[in-house]
Amino acid sequence: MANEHHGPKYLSHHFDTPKQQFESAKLGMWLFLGQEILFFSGLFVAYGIFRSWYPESFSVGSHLLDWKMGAINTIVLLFSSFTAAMAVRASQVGEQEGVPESEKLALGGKKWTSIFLWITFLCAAGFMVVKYFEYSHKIHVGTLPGQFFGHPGFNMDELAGPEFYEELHRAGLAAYESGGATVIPYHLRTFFGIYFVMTGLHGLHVLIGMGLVLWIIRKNQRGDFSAEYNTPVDIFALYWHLVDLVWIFLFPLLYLID
Amino acid sequence: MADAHAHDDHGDDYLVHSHITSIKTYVLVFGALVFLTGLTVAAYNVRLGDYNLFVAVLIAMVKSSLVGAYFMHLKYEKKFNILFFVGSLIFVGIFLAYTLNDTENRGEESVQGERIDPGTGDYAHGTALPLETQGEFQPFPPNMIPSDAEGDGEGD
Repeated sequence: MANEHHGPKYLSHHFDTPKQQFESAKLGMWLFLGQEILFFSGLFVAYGIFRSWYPESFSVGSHLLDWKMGAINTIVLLFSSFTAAMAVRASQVGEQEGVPESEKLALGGKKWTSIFLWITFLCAAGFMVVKYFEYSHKIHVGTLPGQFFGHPGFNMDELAGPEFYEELHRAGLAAYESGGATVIPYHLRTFFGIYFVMTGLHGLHVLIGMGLVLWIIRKNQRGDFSAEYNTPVDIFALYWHLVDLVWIFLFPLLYLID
Repeated sequence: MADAHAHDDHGDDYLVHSHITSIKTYVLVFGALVFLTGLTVAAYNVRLGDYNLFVAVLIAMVKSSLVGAYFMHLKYEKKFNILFFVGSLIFVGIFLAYTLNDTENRGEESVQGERIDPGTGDYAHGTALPLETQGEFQPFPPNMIPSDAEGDGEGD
């Protein structure tokens, strides 16, 4: 009976202290992030193998991507990581009740936590919009993985039009001029397999992050967080930074090849 | 209130004391990340041959270290948690190195899909033979069939 409630409201009954609860959550999250890295590593190893086997495909393939779109998305995602970190800070600072006006830390408290989380959400949405334009263009033209290469809309009955060959010609020429390729290689389709799976899995993580951030915003608006307890904001931000980390590698590896 | 007093005994071990990073630090880190992104794009336009990949990955590693140390607060994190994160990265390195050590040493691929050992000029171990020489299933290329196995074949 005495143990029915043993401390602050946010403290779960199976933890002794808020500190123990916080450290357990952190440990669990770092284990999950380690798992995420290993999960993505299979694709990075596949990338390494195919790039070393078919360097010309990767050269021509990267010239079929728009590096400007990739660069914009990199900045957008870096900025969203920055705002996620600022959201954690705002929640750590808390409402600062009873702190003299002159000593208050700027951009802290519930209001700013929500603002920064919303900016993070909007950046993620912006990232997906750019991704949508990139994907829909490739599906329309027919630069698709494996057997679907040259078949717009993943439709095997449809053959690619002049747009497809013009793009291949332009990319092949660009790759030739930069010394990356001498032909338009057969294994270009393998590059697009790697491209779609890697960016697709990353995009899925962005979508999941968008869902998570809405959930965290709702909890924040409800007043769940304070300077003493803001673990969910912290944990969400860790996830979001990992999504950013993966993209930091994907951008140069996919878009910027000679 | 009685509760709060009881917990005073726990001292620093009771509540969470997070390190609060200054806004200035976050802004500086973000600025550095944008600068390094620009540097990646600039390095792409300089022709360094094989070093382009090396430079791109190196810059990406610096960027991810910044994100890890400041945005993810690894700088102030417990050593035990850092161990998991850095440990998984080390295992990615092992995964990549061992796999490439295999796939990079399977010989050169010719037009037909068979692989030639660059050292001897023979078919590489485990290779698929060119279609015209394919008869019955052979797990080893002809030049690698052990001599006693050939002897057995003649005996039958």
